Amino acid sequence: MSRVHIVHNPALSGVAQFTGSFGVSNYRHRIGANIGFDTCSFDIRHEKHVLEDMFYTGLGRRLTRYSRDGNFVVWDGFISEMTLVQPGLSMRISLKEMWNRASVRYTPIDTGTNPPTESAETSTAVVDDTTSQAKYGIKEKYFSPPKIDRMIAGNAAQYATVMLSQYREPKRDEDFASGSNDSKLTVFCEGFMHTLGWRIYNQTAVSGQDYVYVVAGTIITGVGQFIYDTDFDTNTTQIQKYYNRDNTALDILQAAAGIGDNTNRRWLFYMLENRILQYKLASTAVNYIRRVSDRKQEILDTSGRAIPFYEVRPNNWLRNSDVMPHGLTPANMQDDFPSMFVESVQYNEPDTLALAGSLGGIAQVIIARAADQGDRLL
Amino acid sequence: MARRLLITDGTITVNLLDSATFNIALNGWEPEDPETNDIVRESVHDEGSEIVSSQAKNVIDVIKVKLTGTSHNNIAATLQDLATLKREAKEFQTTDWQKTPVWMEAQTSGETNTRYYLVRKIRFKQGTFPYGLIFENANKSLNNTLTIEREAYARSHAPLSALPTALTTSAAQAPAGQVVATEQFIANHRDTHALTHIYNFDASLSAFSSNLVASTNFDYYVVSGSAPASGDIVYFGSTTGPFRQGVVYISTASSPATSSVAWEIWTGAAWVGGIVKVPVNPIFGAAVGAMPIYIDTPTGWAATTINGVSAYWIRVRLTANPSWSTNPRQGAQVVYNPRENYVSVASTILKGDVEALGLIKYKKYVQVSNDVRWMAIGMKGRGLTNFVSMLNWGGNNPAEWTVATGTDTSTAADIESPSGTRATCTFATNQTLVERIRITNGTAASSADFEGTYHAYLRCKQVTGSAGDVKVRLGVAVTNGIGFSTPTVPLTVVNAGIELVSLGKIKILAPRIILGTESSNGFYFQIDAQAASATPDLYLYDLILIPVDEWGIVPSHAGLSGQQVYDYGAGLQMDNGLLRWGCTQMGPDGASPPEPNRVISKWESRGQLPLFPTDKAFRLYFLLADNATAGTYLAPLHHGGSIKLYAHQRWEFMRGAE
Repeated sequence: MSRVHIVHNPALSGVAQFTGSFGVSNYRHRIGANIGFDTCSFDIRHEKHVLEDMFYTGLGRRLTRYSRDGNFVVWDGFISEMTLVQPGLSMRISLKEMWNRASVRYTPIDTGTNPPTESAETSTAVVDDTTSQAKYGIKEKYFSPPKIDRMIAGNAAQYATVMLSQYREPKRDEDFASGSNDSKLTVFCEGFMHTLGWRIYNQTAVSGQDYVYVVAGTIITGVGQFIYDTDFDTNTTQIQKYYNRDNTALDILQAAAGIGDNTNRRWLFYMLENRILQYKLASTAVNYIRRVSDRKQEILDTSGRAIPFYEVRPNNWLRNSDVMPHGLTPANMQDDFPSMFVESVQYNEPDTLALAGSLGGIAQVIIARAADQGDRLL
Repeated sequence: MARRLLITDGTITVNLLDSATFNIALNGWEPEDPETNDIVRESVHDEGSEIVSSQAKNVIDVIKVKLTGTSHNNIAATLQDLATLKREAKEFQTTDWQKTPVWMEAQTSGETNTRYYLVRKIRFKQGTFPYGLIFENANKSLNNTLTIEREAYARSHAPLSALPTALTTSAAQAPAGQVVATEQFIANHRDTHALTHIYNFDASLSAFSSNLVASTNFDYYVVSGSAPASGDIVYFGSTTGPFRQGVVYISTASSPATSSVAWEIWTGAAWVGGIVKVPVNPIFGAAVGAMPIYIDTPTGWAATTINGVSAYWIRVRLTANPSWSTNPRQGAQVVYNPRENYVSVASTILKGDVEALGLIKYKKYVQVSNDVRWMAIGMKGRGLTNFVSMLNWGGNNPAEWTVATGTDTSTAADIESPSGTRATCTFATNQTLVERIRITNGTAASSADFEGTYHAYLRCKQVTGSAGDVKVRLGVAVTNGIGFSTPTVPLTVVNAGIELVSLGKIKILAPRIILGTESSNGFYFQIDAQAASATPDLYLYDLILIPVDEWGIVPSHAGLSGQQVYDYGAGLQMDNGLLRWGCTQMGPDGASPPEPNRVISKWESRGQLPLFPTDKAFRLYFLLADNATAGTYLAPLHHGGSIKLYAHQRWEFMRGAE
């Protein structure tokens, strides 16, 4: 059984301090090249009151798992959803359908004329629930009414207020199922990179262009509430500064990463340990080596160290060294048949590792450029 | 020896060898070794399979017993004791409030020592019809089955009982004939600046004693039998360079236990107080025992000449007449200064045939300008002859190591540095990620001792510029062979102390690549660094290798207020089930001298709880840091403290006479 450490969210000053270490089962995590620590889930089996207390107070807390020697962060993120299972009962609470800052994007109409006249699309002033924000951080949603988006300003403002009041706290739902006889808390976590998807980034004060990492720095300064620090490498590719389409910071950053650089190389935004947002050139060299005929199915790094499966990370090239062994190694990794770029790592306790591979992104960069939608297009 | 097989919580005992109650049946118990949880892997392209992980499960002992009593009510009382133990064993695991464990004790008639097993679960099946003749008339129940699920291995002590005697340990500079060899002092750096001189100075006689550095017994302040008086001084000095701590051992405490003293260092123009830090209760010389001395950020410390000897000196000066009837006395060991970050356990210390459960007790004697909020501990049981955990970029390393500066880098005197010298990278001509400094081991036998996996840390400081302007990485390469690098890591603060940067895990030589008699080329470490501009400077102090392939743990505060080890006599306990499980912050107990015996808070236990190998010598390497500001770790040289090790030795089958 592995152990995870759960503490209060360090980026929020208004939350109660908490620290706990839990033995967990069914542990699994996913790490993606273009997001870093992505998702993690596990079950806690404990006394009923401990599970209930965690269910009621645990959302948003930080979750970290360390390697066996304690020096390496295996996974780090926050609790985004929990399911409390008791005999006959399943209760779910989630941050995913919660937002505590709302605005409505609509097309104003002037009802003083007949028919009413429309003016340019706009957004209402944001409305905040500061109590929820103090507990979980700011999570915002800009609604665009699905069909009737022509309305008077007062209705739009009221719509925003109503939506806020409905979604300002984490959503709960409950199911009854006779015959079930289990007691556990299933915890779902997301990496802090996901919190950039909580925030809308609009910047209309200045126009022009700047380097991706400079614009990213501005975005993080503005809406990177859970980002402890940044570590950006220099890429002279420039993007626009002006944003006014209610895009999330995550969307903007991933789209910017997808543009790559002027030599068609792939760049990545991602977050791993210490809540540091990184902007780096994607790996271009083999860092992991394995053999399909290895009884131990080990993954070695270039120094020969067997990497425990829970320490394997994406954004590394992996070569299966005994696949087509007589093939001469080409200059480009993309041309090397036994090699794959590790896009994502899925680790399931105790010993299941799934690596999703790709060719490392040249095609991805081209497509991303064409679509301007970032890596998630693929 | 008396036979022994019982279950107990320390108060209630069910004896399984008692003909008046439970009595084990003939051949009623066949102990077995634990099953294991194995992770097995294989390949259809290769023969066989291999175990990549194996952990022992609980053992389930099935014991046939006879149950006898003087009456049915007497038998009921016996069964109620068993039921109580059964309930307690369950509650010990399922609740937080049941703190009394249940354990089993076993010992054969010819076995010298008792074995102890923590009990997880008890079940009992009565084998005789309770309304039959045997039970009705003979008050007996035959063919009963007692099932005990217990921990995998036998211990040398009852679980969660009082601590056993601390293990005898040693440390690099610990003197021969150490009075208390169960407590060792660790440094948070490595250098070779040994104490070379100790003088008493009598102000009224204006006379010095002889050099007392090699003396195992002497009275402090006394020169030729003089009575200590105001103005008398004890000087501690090193002609080889600035040192950062010392350890005295008071064998005879002063009487009365009072004095007024000033601890000072020489800064080039004056003797200055406030830098040398010592325990305040008891004060120097007032109690029997070890007392560490720390030099805390000795800005301006300069060599000066005392009694004709030019050295780095600290001194303790009596500022009032102490009126002692008994002078404080050093003995029966020399004064020394710890200069390495490990404690050693000899191969003969731990018995048993399975890894011992361990408890590491850390005590911080002295309040210095940084608290301890984080610690890394790693074990190494091989290659101990030449391995060093800390390599200084300013030199002062073992002879086989050579430092070569790279682009825009040079060495400079720095009193804060482990060797009194640092390396400075100015980025004046090149701000890209290039080699800034390299340290090479050119000796085959020595380099072979470094084979292993380590977590590498760099102690450094960014000076000027903005936080994060400087990024570093570590390169490791076998001479004339392969090399690899860790990811680049930005520094987090500017000019805020000696920063600790985690560079990541490294492997020196591939696993099992060196066989017993083979050697390798030497190897080297290099630091590559880049800067956003030519503005910042990077000070490089040392590279720290914490071994992680045999065992490791990182105790860390969890970010709660008050979670720092700072006080006189405060400490930490890293415990694998001797008293509790986990890393616990301990506060001073109020005694004089204080001991870290009061529970303060639970720390994060990142990694495995302590397991000590049996039948082999090993060392535990330590690295201490402060983490007062989230994301920033400072690892000053004035961190230190003492380490005591405790163990529950373990056996798979019988314990015997050890």
